[in-house]
Amino acid sequence: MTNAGYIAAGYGITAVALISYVWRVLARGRRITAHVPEERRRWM
Amino acid sequence: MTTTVQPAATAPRATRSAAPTSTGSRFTRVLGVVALAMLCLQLALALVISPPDVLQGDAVRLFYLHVPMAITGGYLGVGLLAIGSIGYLWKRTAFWDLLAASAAELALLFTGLTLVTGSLWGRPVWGTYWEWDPRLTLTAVLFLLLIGYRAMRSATLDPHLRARRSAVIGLLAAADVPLIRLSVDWWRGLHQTATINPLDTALDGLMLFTFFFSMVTFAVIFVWLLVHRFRLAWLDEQVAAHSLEDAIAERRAEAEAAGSPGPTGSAGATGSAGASAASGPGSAVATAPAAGTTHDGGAS
Repeated sequence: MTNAGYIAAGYGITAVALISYVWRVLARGRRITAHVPEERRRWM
Repeated sequence: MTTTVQPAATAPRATRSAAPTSTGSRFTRVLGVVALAMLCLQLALALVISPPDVLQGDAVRLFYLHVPMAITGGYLGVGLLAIGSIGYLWKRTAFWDLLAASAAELALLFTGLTLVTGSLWGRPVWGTYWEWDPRLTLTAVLFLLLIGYRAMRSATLDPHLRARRSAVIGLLAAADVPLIRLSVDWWRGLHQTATINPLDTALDGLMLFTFFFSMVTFAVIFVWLLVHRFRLAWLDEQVAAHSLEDAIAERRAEAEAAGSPGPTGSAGATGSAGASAASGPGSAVATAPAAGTTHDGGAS
């Protein structure tokens, strides 16, 4: 495969950024949910 | 006999239907599984199955990442930011502000990745990581505007003022997107013109399918992330409103214990900016999340 380094860097950086962001949002959501009264926590 | 059985039978059901303990729901779980499956297929198509380009060779594989990222962040992300901003300026409810803020954060992430993947694609194809080309420059401007949007939200405490300023910056950022789109036609630069023309495309069948599949995949990932991010923003609002109520109740109890006649003045003073915002013009944002139907309905 030609230019494998650029391709790996592109997909690798994207994967790390997206996974980090997803982790951060989900973890913070789980943490903060405990501080919200149950009657105000309703998803469809 | 029946009276003792009935509560035991209904108790587990009541526990199961308790409030969620995260930003997830059945909808997001299904969507997440679909997004993950699509991402696996997208990676297989983009990295293995689709053929190399005649001119670019394997560097074209970055095309299946860079362009969907740019379109999802620029059009979907900034488009929703614009809709949320207009919606807030029109309706003045927290739902639109939270929608705009959530979309802006995702647009920032996707635009940042667009710049990075574009640079990595540009190096083997153009021979340079960066060029002050109109499209690249305007995309960098959009990225800076989205950083400014986020910085402004962090710096402004009054929720009403924050939402109004955010909406203005959001619309400013949205105005940049048509310029990015048209820049390759208006000015001569290094960036090529529109890659996909529905009437005359140079891509062959499998490459075209890979490209469109990548577009849909990143759009699904974006929507999944948006729902989670919106719910997180909603929870943040709830925590802020709840802690404010607690502070007021605490001060009220203190005032009653001290035997003073009226707690309203001291409660307002204790709550500082947040308390005054809740009872003043900012109340639309500070207390509107209590109208749960609007938020819940919008999130899902």
